[in-house]
Amino acid sequence: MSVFPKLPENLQAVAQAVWQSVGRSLPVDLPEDFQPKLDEICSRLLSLAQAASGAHKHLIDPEVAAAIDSLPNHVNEQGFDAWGLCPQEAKFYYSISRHLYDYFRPEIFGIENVPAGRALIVPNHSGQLPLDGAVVSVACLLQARPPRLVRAMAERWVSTLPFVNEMFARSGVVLGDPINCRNLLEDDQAILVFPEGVKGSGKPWQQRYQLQPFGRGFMRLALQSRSPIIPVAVIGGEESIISIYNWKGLARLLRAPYAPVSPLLPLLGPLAYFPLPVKFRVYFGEPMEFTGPFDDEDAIIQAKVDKVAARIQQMIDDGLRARRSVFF
Amino acid sequence: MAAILISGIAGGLAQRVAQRLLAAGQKVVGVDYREVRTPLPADLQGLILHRAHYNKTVIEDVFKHHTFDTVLHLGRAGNLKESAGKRFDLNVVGSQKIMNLCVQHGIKRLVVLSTFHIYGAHPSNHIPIAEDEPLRAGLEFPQIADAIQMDNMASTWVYRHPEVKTVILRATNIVGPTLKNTMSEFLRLRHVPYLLGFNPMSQFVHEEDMTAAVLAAWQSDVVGIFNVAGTAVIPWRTALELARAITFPVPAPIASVFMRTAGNFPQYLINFFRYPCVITDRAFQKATGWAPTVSAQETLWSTVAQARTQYGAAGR
Repeated sequence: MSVFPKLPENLQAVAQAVWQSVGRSLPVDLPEDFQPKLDEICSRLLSLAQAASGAHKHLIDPEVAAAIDSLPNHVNEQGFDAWGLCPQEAKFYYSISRHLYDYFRPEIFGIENVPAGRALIVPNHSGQLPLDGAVVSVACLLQARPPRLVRAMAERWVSTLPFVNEMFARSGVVLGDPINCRNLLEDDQAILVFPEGVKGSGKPWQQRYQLQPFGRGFMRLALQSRSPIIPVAVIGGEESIISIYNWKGLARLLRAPYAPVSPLLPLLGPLAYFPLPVKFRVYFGEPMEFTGPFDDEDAIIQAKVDKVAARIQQMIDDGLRARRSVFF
Repeated sequence: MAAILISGIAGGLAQRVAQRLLAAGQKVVGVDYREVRTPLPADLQGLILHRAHYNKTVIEDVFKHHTFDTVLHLGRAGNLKESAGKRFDLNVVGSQKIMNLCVQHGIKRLVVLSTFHIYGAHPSNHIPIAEDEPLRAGLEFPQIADAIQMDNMASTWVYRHPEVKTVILRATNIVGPTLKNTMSEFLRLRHVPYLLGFNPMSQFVHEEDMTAAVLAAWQSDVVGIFNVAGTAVIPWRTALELARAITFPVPAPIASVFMRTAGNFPQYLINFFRYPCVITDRAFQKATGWAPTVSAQETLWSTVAQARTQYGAAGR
C-alpha cells in the first residue's frame, strides 16, 4: 500500500550505521551485547512491517474486487489514470468504505436508474463529513448494473490535506473543476457532484433536509456533454454527525471550509464526531435530460437547475415521510 | 549551406540534438555561457563551439561569423545554482538578444525550450493542463519570474515577427542517462525524499523523446506554444520505485525550511511534490506527428541505472 511508508530492506545495516556513528558516543550505559539485540529489534520490526503491508490484501473485500475488476480499463501501463485513480489501490479504500456502508445499513432504491454510460449523479449533501458521498459511491459500485466507479468532485481543500488527498485520488475522487468534469464525461464516466458544495455538508441541524442553493456548473456540463442527470435523495446523512453551529473562526484557523460544533461535545469529547449508527436510505431518481445551449444566460440555466433541485427536494420529502425511524 | 545554432550546448539535451543533426549532415554551431567538456565524443565531431553569454556582444559575433537559418534556443538556465539576477540576465535579457538577432539575420525557424514549471503545481489545477491556461507559478514563487517572462516574450514573437517561425516547447521533467539537470540528478540520489502524506501525479519525458520533439518542431512549419509530456502519468513515489531509489518521508514544513536554507534544490519546486501539474501534449502530437515512445519504466530506470550500479547491491 503505497500510502504507508515502506521500511528499507537494509534496516539492520542502517540501524548499525547510526549506532556506530551516534549511539556509541551517547552518555548512556548500554549492555555489551547491544549489537545483536539491536539486530533482533530490527528484524522484528521488518517482519511486522511486512505483515502490515501484506495484511491489506486480506482486508480487500472479494465483492469489491470483483466489481472493480469488471470495470472498463481507463488506466496506463503503470495502473493509473491521469487524475491518480488506481483500481488496484481503490480496492483497498473501497473495502474500508464498504465497512462504513454496512455500518449505516443503507436501503438503496432505484439503482437501475444509474446508466452504463456518461452521467451526472446529483445528490443532496449533508453530514459534515462526505459520508453520503461514500455511501452513494459504494452503492454505485456494488449495486449498479454494470458496476460504476463514480468520480466524485471534491473541494480544493481536499487536495491540500496530507494522506487524505492520496487516498481520495487513488479511489477516483477528482478536484471539482469544469475541465476535469468535462474530460471525464467525454470518457463516458459517471460523475458524482454535490451542487450545494460545502454549504450543504456544513449546514447545521436547524437546516436539515433543506437544500441549499445549487451551483449552475453541473447543468452547463450536462448540456455541453449531453449527459443525463440522476437526481438522488440521501436520507440519514443529516443525523449521522450533528452540528449546531459553524465556528467560522476555527475554520479560518484550520483553513477548513467550516468547523462544526456538535451538541454532544461536552458529553463525548472528540467522539462526538464519530458518525451515529443512523440508517441511510438512498433514492436514485429517474434520469433527467435537458437540452439547449450550455452557454446560455444564467437565468435560463438557473431555471433548469431549479427543476433538478425541486425534484430532489420532492424525493427527500417523500423519503422522510416514508421513514419510520432514524436508526432502524 | 546555412547552419543551425544551438544554445545551451554544454547541456546533455542540446548535445543529443546536435548529434542527430550532425548525423543528418547538417552544419551545427553550438553556443553556451558555460564551458563545454572537451574532447567532444566522436559523434559530436564537426560541431563548431563558441563560448558566449547570451546577453553580451560576443553572441552577436557568432551570428556574424556564420549564416544561420535555424536557431534552437535550448539554453535556459533552469537551476538555482545561478542567482536570480544572473538567471534574469541569461534567460530574459539573453533570450531577448538571441531573438532580436534572429530577426536581424533573417532566421526562418526558432525553437525555444521553456518549462511546464511556469504553470505551477497548485491545488486548483485541473488535469490535464493545455497551452492556453494561466501560469500560476508566479503566484507563490516569484523566483520563477524569469522563466515566465522568457516564455511570454517568446510567445509575443510568434505574432510580432511572423517571419521568424517560432515554436515554444513547454516540456515536462526531462530526464535521461546523459542529462545532468536538477530532476535527473535528484532521481540519482541514493536516498530520495518525498513529502509525507503527498504523492502527486508526475510526468517524465525521456531525452530521446525530447530530442525527437525538438527536431519535429524544427522540421514542421507550425508556430506557437506546445506542451511536451512523456508517455505516462504516474505518482511521484511510483516514479521513485521505477528508479529503484530508497525513499524516505519528509514532513512538508521541514522540507521547506531545508530548501530555504541548506538545499540546492529550487525552493519553488516544492509544490511539485505536493500538488499535480499534469500537462497534455495532444496539440503538439496533432500538429507535428511526434509521439513519445519510451515507457515510464524505461525512462526512469535508464536515467539512474549507471548511478545505481555504482552504489552497488546496497543501492537497491
